[in-house]
Amino acid sequence: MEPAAAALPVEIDSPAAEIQDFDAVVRLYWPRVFRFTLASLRDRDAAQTLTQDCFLKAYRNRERFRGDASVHTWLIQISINLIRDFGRNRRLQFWRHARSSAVDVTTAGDWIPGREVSAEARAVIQEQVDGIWKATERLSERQRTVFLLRFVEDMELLEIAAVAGMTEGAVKVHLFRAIRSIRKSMGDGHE
Amino acid sequence: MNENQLKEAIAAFRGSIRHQGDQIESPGLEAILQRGQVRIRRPRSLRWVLAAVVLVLGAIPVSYEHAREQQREAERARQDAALLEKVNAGLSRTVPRSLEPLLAWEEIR
Repeated sequence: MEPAAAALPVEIDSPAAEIQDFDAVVRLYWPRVFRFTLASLRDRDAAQTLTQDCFLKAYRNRERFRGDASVHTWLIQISINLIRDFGRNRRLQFWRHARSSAVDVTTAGDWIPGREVSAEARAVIQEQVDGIWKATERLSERQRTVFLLRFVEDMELLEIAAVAGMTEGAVKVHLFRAIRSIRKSMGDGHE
Repeated sequence: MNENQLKEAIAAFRGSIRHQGDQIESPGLEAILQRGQVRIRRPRSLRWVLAAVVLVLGAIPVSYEHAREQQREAERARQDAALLEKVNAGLSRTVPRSLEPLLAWEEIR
């Protein structure tokens, strides 16, 4: 169960309270930022590092946060920028591509919540998860970002446009292409 | 794969990603800030090491070239001195070498 972003304490009186409040921000939003980073990078260690960097950056720039958008939107925007920078650096450090902490697609399907499902149903879900996981790997960075924000983070198109620095039209186009590509790689012949 | 199957698959994917996100606990602000300080310090020391290496590597060809230039100058000075000696030796002769026997004859007389 995720608490609403609006429930966040934004009124900060003293530096001590500020630290305490930001600590609450970290606890509250860590899972969301981490899962988005993990799904984007497919590397657990890198996702943890980037999530920490995201909160560190947010903490250092907390005075600039005007509250125009939700804290979640603000943090996701920071993490998108960090993921882009990370991607650029990784392209330059091509010899480091063999990552030991990279998520194995065959185990991605094990992340199924709840143990109450039957073994058969579990196998079906696992197959579906693996399929989508593999399919998102083939998406472009922008398509993957838009897809994850829409279907994992449940963000509105306008919100996605704001955090990803795109127009709403561009978001729609990327989303359409992402779904088409996923459907194709999941075994649908017709586009 | 029809529309419903795709929706189901995406929902399963979302569930698994969210579940995974919930498994990793937040390290807390203190740990994040501490790590931030370590990361700031480390690149600074690395930068100094890198700058020192670049400086040393840059200084090696310069000092080598300087030593070579000194050698060349010393060689030129030696050659000049030898030439000057030869010229002086030529100037100090009272008669050309071919007439030297006559000079000896004059001395005998």
